[in-house]
Amino acid sequence: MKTPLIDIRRLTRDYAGGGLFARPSLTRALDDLTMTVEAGTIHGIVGESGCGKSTLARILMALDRPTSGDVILDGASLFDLSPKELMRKRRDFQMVFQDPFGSLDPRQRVARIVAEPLHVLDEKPSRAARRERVMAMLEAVGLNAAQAERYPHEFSGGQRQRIAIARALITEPKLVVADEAVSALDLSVQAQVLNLITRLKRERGVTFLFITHNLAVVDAVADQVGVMYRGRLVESGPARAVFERPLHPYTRVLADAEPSVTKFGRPPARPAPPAAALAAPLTHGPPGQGCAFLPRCPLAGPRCAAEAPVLRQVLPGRQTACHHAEQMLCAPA
Amino acid sequence: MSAAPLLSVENLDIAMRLPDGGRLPIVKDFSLTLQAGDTLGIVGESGSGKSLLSLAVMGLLPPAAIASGRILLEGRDLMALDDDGMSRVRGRRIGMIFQEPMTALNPAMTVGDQIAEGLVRHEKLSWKAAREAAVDLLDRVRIPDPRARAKAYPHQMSGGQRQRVGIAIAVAMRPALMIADEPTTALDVTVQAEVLEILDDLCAREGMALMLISHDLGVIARMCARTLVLYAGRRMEEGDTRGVLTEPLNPYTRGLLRAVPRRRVDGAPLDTIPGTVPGFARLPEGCVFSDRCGDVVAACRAGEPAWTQPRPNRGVRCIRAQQEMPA
Amino acid sequence: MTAPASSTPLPTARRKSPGLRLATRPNLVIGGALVAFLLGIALVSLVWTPLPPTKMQIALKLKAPLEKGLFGTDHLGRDVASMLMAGAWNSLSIAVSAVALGAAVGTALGVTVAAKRGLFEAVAMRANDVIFAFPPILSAMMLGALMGTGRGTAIIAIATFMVPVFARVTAGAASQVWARDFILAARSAGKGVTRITIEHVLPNIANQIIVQVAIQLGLAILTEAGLSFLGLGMAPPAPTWGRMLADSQTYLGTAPWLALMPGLAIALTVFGFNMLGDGLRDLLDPREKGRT
Ligand SMILES: Nc1ncnc2c1ncn2[C@@H]1O[C@H](COP(=O)(O)OP(=O)(O)OP(=O)(O)O)[C@@H](O)[C@H]1O
Ligand SMILES: Nc1ncnc2c1ncn2[C@@H]1O[C@H](COP(=O)(O)OP(=O)(O)O)[C@@H](O)[C@H]1O
Ligand code: SF4
Ligand code: SF4
Ligand SMILES: [Mg+2]
Ligand SMILES: [Mg+2]
Repeated sequence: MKTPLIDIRRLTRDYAGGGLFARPSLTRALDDLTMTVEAGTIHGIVGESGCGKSTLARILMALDRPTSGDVILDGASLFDLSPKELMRKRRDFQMVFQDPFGSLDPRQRVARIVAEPLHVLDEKPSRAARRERVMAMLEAVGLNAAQAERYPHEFSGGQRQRIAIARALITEPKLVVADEAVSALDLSVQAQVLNLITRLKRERGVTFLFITHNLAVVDAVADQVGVMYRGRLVESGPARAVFERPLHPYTRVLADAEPSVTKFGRPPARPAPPAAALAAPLTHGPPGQGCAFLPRCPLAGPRCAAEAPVLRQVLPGRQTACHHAEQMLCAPA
Repeated sequence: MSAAPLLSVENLDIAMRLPDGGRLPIVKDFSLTLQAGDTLGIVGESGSGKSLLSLAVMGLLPPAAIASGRILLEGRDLMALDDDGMSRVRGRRIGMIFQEPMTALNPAMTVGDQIAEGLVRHEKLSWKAAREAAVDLLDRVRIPDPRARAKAYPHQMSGGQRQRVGIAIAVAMRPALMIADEPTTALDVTVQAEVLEILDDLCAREGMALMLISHDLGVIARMCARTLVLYAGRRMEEGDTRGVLTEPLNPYTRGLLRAVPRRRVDGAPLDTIPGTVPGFARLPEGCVFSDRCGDVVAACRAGEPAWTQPRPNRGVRCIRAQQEMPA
Repeated sequence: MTAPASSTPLPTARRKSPGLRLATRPNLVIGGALVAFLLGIALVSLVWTPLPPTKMQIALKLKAPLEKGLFGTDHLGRDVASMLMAGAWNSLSIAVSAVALGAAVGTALGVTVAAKRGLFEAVAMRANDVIFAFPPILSAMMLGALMGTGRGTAIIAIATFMVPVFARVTAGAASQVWARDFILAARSAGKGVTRITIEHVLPNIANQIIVQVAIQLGLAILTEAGLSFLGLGMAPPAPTWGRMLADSQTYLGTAPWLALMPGLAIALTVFGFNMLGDGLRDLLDPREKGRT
């Protein structure tokens, strides 16, 4: 097996909560998260809001540091780098943000916005060379050179997201982290941007970490997918297989809850968590005790309250953190 | 039951007054009827005029808007009502749920009191009785431990819980018509599913009519018996939801459905609608969709196609749909 | 916090020619005209006044307007119109220097606070409050005791109380800019705090600073008048509007124009700057700007 582009090792991030009047508390945004992303793939991350997706993105972009754990990018630990080395490394990873209206400086022209990441290059390109690269990049994302001198407010949401993607790609990074990059877009524009991302992967070999709460979007573009719940990775595997036959009850809950143009009317009632499992005292004690999904899980049994499930391989290439994953295998799809 | 439909909108036009004195037409030739218990979904992309429509029915259009046409609720012309009359209709006969529950709630008042407030004002309940009713309503929208949560402030609740409070406020007066403008867009899929189920139950149990506005075709499929597709302020297509979503008559509806993200087995790109929604000041001549439509013919640019009803309970605005439909 | 973003460019009909913009903005037109007029007068006074403003002609003292000169003469027979013109220069030059100084220091402080947060923010803002609690007159008296009265004292005294105003406005505006995603994008491009402040934060808060400058100029004129009224401004015989007011007190009954003229000049100037500030605020409002 070749070495992965990103190797995320036991990443944990705690945020100190509480405040002046509330008792101090810790929010564990990421909880012992381990995963790898292969070069040249689109790797989807799905999960509910607050499950730690953006925290993961920020740490991968070295905008935030983990409480513990490590990220190995292309063979080097991201957090052992000196500021200077980190600066140089930044050309290899870039980010596209959720809100295409907030992520572009309204006071700068498109050409300048797109050129922004270039300043980390060792050899700063000349004015002319910079301009050439910007134009080539704009064309690659389907905008034209004449638009380079315009301001962001003159563009629609989809066009702005293309500008943001052009900015992320200008240093020819190996990795682009896209945090909810199409969530704010209308359907007809969303498909245009998704096609662009697929094309960039195919033609330029860019690796995408594609974060979203929308399963259909991940299903449409991702090769691999990781499902997060409360800061943990609960399932991972090839996107198609995961959505066709989930191995974690939470993935199933997510898939069932997602509305679709082919599902009319009220969905069939979902099985409720068994009363016996819920009756077990739900200690929100130190993380690591019991399964975090227990209160919502229809498959829960006594073991789930006592012991936190760890990620394990259930089928070739398929991992899940659930004691009863084998039951999911027999359950009707 | 009287013969008049619950809500009927006839030939509604909405234009915006521009600062330089001009007028910019937004919504044009809009009509619909809604019977008690009906569920109607209105879909459209951002800026297509969905929110303006709901505001028009609520009598809450911004001052810059000029509306013409008729909006009849239970036979009464809402556009002829004065402010007092309209505010009696709002809340009592029409309830509204907003997209962002946080901005629609008063941050300085407990959620229980916010629900009770309307009951005190409109139903003349005592505060004590109204607070009791509020606890009951919180229970009905499935807030756990409603008695304790009634004393909570909005910021102490999650987005999904706030939206449930919004629903509780709207249903407190048992309105005949509920307008929900993107009620779940700010919520997660699992929370969205719960909120939709609550809304569904309430409509079924109370016989409320629902006008649900969304850009999510899946949400409409889940909730609504009928669907109306809006593009650039025009209704493009209307009919039973299954019919509209499985046999669309208008090319725009077809394009929207094809753009729904799904796995492509052959690795081919997703279908898209080329171009972007034009601004209202530069709509194309003739059919407003003609600059992006794959089926466009010369006649489309000659004049705006009229609203036609090729079948009972089915309406469409498209020249080609008219020609191809057997009469 | 983000509202659902509309992906439709707003109607083009909103874009108006600059001319049309002006016509629909009386504040800007009136304020701009007044300020331009005063500025013109002040500049002209440097090379020409009807009579030398300090020339005394005791024989012609306390003449009514038009009887001698356009606005009459004062108790020492000096030409009021000439004094007003020279006073315009003195007032405006002090106000402009003070506001420039205050805006520069205050803005630097404000953007630093927004970038640093934490302890620095707490200390700086507390210090701000303390300075703000002193009326400018008081600080001018203290400064005057230290370094003597004069142009420099007036400028520093006024600037001192401008600093907290600008610090607060820019810190608030800059914090909002810092919370935007494009700052995160700049950080992930590896840019440092100083660079982000110069390239992204300052251009995005420039509007608010400009508006504040116009409003504070009005206030500075008023304060300068107050200082020289109390004898804390420029040393005599240099004419200032404030001293003209002070000198006129004794003659309120017999020569009311002596108080009226500088009073009017001050009021008009303050009014002009405030109108200009309001007008600029409308003109530069991002909600207007963002529209195509
Ligand atoms: N107060 C206003 N002044 C001027 N134009 C307005 C105003 N309110 C809405 N518009 C315009 O009317 C059109 C329709 O707006 P509306 O809010 O109804 O869209 P929508 O379909 O609800 O979109 P979204 O999905 O983004 O909420 C837009 O072009 C908008 O710019
Ligand atoms: N700066 C912060 N301070 C405190 N808590 C935070 C901060 N950022 C995120 N969190 C908390 O961490 C958890 C994960 O947040 P986030 O990664 O933003 O979730 P997602 O992107 O999946 O919606 C949430 O509970 C959130 O409240
Ligand atoms: S470990 Fe138990 S509670 Fe957790 S998801 Fe699996 S079956 Fe459910
Ligand atoms: S009228 Fe013509 S342009 Fe309009 S939707 Fe029909 S085919 Fe397309
Ligand atoms: Mg997030
Ligand atoms: Mg809307």
